[in-house]
Amino acid sequence: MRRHRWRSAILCVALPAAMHAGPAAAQPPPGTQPPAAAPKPVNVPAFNSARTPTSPAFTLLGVEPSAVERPANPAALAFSFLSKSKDPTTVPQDFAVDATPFWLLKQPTFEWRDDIDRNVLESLVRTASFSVATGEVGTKAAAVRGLSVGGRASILSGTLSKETQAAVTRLEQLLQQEAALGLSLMADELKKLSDKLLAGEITKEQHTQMMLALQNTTLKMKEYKESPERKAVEKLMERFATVREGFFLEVAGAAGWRYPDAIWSQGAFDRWALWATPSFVSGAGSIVGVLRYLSEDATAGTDQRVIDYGVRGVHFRDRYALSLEYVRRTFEAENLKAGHRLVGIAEYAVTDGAWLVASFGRDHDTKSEGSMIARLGLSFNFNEARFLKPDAPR
Amino acid sequence: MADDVSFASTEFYQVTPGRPVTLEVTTGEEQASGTSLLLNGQPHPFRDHAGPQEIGNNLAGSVLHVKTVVKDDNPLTNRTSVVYELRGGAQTARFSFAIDVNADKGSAHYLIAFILTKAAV
Repeated sequence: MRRHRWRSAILCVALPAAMHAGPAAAQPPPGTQPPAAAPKPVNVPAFNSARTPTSPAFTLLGVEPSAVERPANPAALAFSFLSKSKDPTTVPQDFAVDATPFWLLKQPTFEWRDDIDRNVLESLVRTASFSVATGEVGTKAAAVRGLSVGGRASILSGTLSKETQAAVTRLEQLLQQEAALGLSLMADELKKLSDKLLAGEITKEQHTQMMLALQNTTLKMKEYKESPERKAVEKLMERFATVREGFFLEVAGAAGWRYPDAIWSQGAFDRWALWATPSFVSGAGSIVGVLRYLSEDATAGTDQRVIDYGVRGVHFRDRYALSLEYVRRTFEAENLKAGHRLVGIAEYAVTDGAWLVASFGRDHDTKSEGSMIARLGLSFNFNEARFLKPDAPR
Repeated sequence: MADDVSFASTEFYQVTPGRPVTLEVTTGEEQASGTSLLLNGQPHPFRDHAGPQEIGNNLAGSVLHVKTVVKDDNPLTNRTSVVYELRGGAQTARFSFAIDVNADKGSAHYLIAFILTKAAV
């Protein structure tokens, strides 16, 4: 299977910027004041922050929960709600849950081959998720608890890539060989056990327990653990990742409420947001569009609507990746001026774990501080276990 | 081994003399798997993931051991499940088993013994 290392970096060390408008450049000359009516500089978000978020509720609330509950079944989901709702009159504190209903339910006959292609309904059912979060959004003087509810789904979610299909098929061949090895190591003992069962010397339950013990012993045997079959499976799994290609359309929405003193009965609707991310992903590149609507954005200094839209093109190979992104931000508020961000990024794999990253372009208003982007950095990848192509949701 | 979980079961299935018995293995939860067989202690060919496969005729008194290794390659769940369907006997029988792995990319080992008995006429 082909390796794609894009977006796996989790630590970035920025080297001195080659060119960056510093604070001195933005200082007004002594004795002068900036024009009172000058439009406020606009902070256009980076491309990824305008994309469909994984958990819209967390994004809208502006929280990054340290502990997110991801229940594995409906009972666990119910328990996570009930365990946080000890006082029915108040909004629970620091509650965060993210769940995908399709995977809350057992899928005992759902094979990976059933998921190579998806129609719109199948895509919606298999990818729909919801998130709920609470957090403090007030001040020390005026405590206000926020509650946000969000949902996310892919209307289109592409096709399982040929590379992934080949990798899983190869994995299954290796697993069959591993199963055959396990049986061969147990064959003599299994025959003795079944003979005892047929002779009535042991019960069905005893036979099952003895088989289980035998299998557990076999799994610990050196001949098994260090077998070529076993090592081949582990080697393939080291860099295994499911990749889908083709057309994608992700949509998400979230709504938030404010509760003074965390009291349910005092709640009021606060804000809402919508995201849409259409994209096309192929073997060597992707084109991704973004559209984000926020009914208000405190970080941008407005309680009126903000709309972001943009596009990014990415071309990648095993050792390098090139991308160009453009995001434009518009405001309903008349005192805020629209702006845009245009950045090109080049990444090259210096070694297996380190990438040289260069970015150049402009951010928001070119007349204001920090508008030019020119950075050179090293990005280290400590998570080689999973590689995903860019912009390819599962 | 730390990420391996193990499961075993013993099942009885009544076969009809002269009628071929087939086995189909279905692995759920969108996971990858491989299955191998022993028939009366000897390796028996099995085409994996190819629908129902004929095991043989006149199998009364035989023991079919089936081992399936499931690899959790689905990051959305740690559940694994395998459904074994036997046909050709007195009636079609589905044996459904499930077990969770402890961590992503863990393995689940299913070992099932099918005791094939003669159907009452």
